Amino acid sequence: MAALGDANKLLQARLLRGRERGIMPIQNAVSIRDVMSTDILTVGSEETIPEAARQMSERNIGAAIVEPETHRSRPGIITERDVLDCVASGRRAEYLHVADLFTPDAMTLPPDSSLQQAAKVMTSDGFRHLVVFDGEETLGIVSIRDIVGRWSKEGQLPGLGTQIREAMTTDVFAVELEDTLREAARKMGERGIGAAMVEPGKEGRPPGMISAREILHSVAAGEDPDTERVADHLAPRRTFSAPDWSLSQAAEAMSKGGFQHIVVVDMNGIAGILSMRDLMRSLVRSSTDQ
Amino acid sequence: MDGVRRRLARGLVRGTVAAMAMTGGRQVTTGLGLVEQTPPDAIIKQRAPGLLVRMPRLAFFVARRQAALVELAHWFYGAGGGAAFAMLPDSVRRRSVWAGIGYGLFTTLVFELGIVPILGLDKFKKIRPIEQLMFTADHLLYGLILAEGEKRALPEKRGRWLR
Repeated sequence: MAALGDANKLLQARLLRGRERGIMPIQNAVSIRDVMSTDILTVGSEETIPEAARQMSERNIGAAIVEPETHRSRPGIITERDVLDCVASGRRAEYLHVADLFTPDAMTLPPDSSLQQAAKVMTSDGFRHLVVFDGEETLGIVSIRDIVGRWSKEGQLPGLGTQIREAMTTDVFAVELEDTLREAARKMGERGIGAAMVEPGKEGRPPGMISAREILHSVAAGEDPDTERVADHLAPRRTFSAPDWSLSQAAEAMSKGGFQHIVVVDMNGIAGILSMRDLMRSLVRSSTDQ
Repeated sequence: MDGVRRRLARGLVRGTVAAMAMTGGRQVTTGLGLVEQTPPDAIIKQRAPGLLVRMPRLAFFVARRQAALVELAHWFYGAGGGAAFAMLPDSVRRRSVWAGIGYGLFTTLVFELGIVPILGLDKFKKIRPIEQLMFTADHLLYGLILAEGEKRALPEKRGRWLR
């Protein structure tokens, strides 16, 4: 946690130095203030995990702000990945509180940071959400989807000609239909992934998928992850592409359709999986190369 | 009415055959590296996000069989173009070479000035001059095959001295 705090301070200092030199943020560039969600969910650190999960599940969001202890201090954050890790660890969510799982001193950025800066922080530190904090209060939360959506809408996606195959993960992991949610969460947690395929080998049929979001919904409903089966919690929506389709097409589909993952298939079956994080990493790499 | 239907049917068949000939030509130009990506390929790879968002099952089907589906779609357009050519006046269709060249250039222009800007395909990849030349050449091939077939189907024009 100390490392996170240090990284945060370093980033803030870097932004400040840049601003003093008149380099950052870029004048007239879109800032995260323009794309952030201001309608944020705030939960208290004493709330139980199922209660916090229920609020996130109802709004179908993957992260909530945890109220800071004192005014002007940085807020905390709890995400669906924290809930997934909790289920994976074998702990009983109903006996845990937000305080047991959340990340205090969340990674924050000032509101006038550029989308490019936010994207770089997200990819280098592996965050899907950043808290927008002006030094006194939390103004909003910005996600990978917000940034990709804005770039896509304005036709400013870097690396327009890049193919999905260059960004996707080819090491696709699958769980069984009969696995319990606990087993599936544990397998996903061990590999540090947020989604797994289900029955990928069924010839000619679109494979199923389960993600951290489905685990969150189940915890929110107060279900027992030791008895609930993957078969009853498959992601209701998923989409597919071929490896040589363009990354910009995938970005547009993910931001418009709200997909966190795209399953990449070819004539031989599943070729890979493209997550929002893979997409962002590739876009940042392309923009650096340009 | 029957005559029109027969003309349309003939046009559809000729259009399909001419599009198939284009496919063969494109296999060669793509294989030689002159063309990186054919226009029907570009459309499906770059401009079908709606398919992914609204019709994921169809996206799955297309992604697994795209090589065949892209060609089928191209033949389908080719058939439509053949039917349209068949409805041109006899006087035009009789001039097989000029009508073929003209129609080939026309279909190239429809693609370049209509489909490319509408779908924004030019944003993704700069088309090299050699690719442009190859696209024009295979549309000319399409036009010539279509026109020559149509000319052969027309009744022989009697010479003035036979009247």
